[in-house]
Amino acid sequence: MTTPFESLAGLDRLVHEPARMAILTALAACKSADFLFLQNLTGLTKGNLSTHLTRLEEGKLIEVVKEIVGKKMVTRIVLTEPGRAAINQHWQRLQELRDQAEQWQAEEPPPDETA
Amino acid sequence: METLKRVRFVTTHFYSLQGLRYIPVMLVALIVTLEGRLALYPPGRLEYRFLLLLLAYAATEIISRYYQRTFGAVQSERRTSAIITFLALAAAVVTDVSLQAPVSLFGLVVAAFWGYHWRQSHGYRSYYAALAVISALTAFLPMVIQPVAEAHFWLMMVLIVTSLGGMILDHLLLVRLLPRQNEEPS
Repeated sequence: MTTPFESLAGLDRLVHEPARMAILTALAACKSADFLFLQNLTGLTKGNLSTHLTRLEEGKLIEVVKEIVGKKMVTRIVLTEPGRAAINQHWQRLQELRDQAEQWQAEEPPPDETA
Repeated sequence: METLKRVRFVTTHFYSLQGLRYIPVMLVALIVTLEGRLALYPPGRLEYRFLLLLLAYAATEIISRYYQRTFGAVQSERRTSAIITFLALAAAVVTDVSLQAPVSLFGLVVAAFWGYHWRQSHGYRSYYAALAVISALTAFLPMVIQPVAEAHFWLMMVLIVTSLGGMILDHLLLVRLLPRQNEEPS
């Protein structure tokens, strides 16, 4: 039987990275969000956010749509179906890991350091 | 985990957290409630109310632009709760006016609205619980204030003022939950 730590190592790193997980979690809660909103939400710099979005776009988890609204270019980010499945599956795995970790602690208490 | 809870909450409630957007409409409601007492203009004149609504619409547009430029935009999932709330409030007003009952249905519907959204807010909008309690208590004003029309006046005043407070607190919550955008160090 694998320990929770071994299972943790098996998580999808494209999704599990904290900034990308925040982006995907936000996009899963709406139809689409623009670049400025995601920047405010994550607290990332423009450059960092662009890099993470590119990684996610390359992984086909999101779609970046550029459109002109009025005279301004607006960048809208949409979660793709595989992206939605990936983040949902990831949350499910994290929950399973949490349950597993709680059980694991109960089964194997830490050794008594005073002994 | 806490950060992701915040992310989900802000994204889901992004528009309702933009409390300043609703203030012009609430101010119109306040002026219409007070129009007979303050003699701001000849009471009951529809053209003044129309002008107020026009001003409120223009102010709301300006505030919406401010939010979009400062915090960005989110396209939310379609929700029917706003329509249901509006219909419930309208039905409650009609019931209150026609029945003149000792307990205001309108106050109870407003209390239910705050209570429901307090439950949905995962602890972020604790002030909604206070708004729900105040609204529920105001529903009983017709029992202590007579005539009923006078009770309805005070009920509206309390509900509008507390709602304005809730909207300002929503705005402050949005500002607190969305950190200012970081720029690359030059």
